[in-house]
Amino acid sequence: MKSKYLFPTSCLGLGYFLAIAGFILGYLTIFKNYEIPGFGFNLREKGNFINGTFENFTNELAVFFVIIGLLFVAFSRDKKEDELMARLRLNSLYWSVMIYYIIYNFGFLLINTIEEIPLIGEHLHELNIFTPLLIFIIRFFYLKHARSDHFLFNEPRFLANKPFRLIGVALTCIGIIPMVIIACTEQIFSSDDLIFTIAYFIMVFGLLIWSFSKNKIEDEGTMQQRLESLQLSVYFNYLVLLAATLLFYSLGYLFVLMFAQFSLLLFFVIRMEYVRYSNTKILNTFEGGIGA
Amino acid sequence: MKNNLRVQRAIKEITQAELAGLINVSRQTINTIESGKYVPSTVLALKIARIFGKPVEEIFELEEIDFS
Repeated sequence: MKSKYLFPTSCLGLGYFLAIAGFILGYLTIFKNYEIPGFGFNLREKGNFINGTFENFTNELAVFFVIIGLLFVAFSRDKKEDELMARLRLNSLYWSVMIYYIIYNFGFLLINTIEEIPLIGEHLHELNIFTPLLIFIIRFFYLKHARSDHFLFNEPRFLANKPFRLIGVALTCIGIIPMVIIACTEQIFSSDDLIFTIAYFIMVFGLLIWSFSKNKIEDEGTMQQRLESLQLSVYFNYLVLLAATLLFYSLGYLFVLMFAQFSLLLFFVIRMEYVRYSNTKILNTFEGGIGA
Repeated sequence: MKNNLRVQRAIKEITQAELAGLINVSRQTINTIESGKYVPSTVLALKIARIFGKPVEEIFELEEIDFS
């Protein structure tokens, strides 16, 4: 197993610097309402009640710094990037995605209680953006240093193909359909809409089971594909998030944040299925060469 | 690392699917090994070598680039 798609080692220091700067800036923006004076431009012709003409970009900058910084810290090539490191990365990616989504799903159920918590409750969506990266970094560094004399850790375990793959796919579809219908027929929906909330929860749970269930044929090749797919979906997820940070504002941005909650799993599932589909196509069109 | 797995299969006249079945991996994995996109684990390489009755080094060979 080898890790591909990693940043060069020099990015590690830059990552720390950007992440810390981003956190400080984010703290100042959210909790002290600080804005870099003049850092923005006139976005709208006429100001309305909600938005003035001048849009400041300090909070976008903070998000940028934090995300890019944490990406660099998490995914910079280590000095000895070998098969053992690849196993550590897979284990950490597995942990971070699983823990994040389990916390998120249970937290979703208790959303009313959590929102009461001062400071954290109001900014849950913003804090959620980088939590998977943080969990990955903590787990990865723990495995590298705390266990450096024996490196004993379990292989990630996945749910059996029958019945969980089918359950996962079914739940995802059951969840998506009402959501799409509601989103298309109503312009603005509130999260109090019970059907929408339930459908959303079912979809995310379905995606989680789908992602953590085995393929029909499971061997070391598919484990390698899993590592690559997890890696790529993390990158793609944050790329979309960063692009959206630049393009969407206020209400539109809240929708993006909501999408970002489950987009990682969605991308992972899409990539895995695509790899499986294209491999099957290759095998079917080209029958293994000589003496097939 | 290069391999002559395809040639060995031809000599023994077995398909990718049959080889995959013998060592309990997917045909996909055999295909990616043969096309050089995937390096098998030690256990898998030893199993493959045993099927063909040859030492591992006769099927899988190190290249210069593996040492960089």
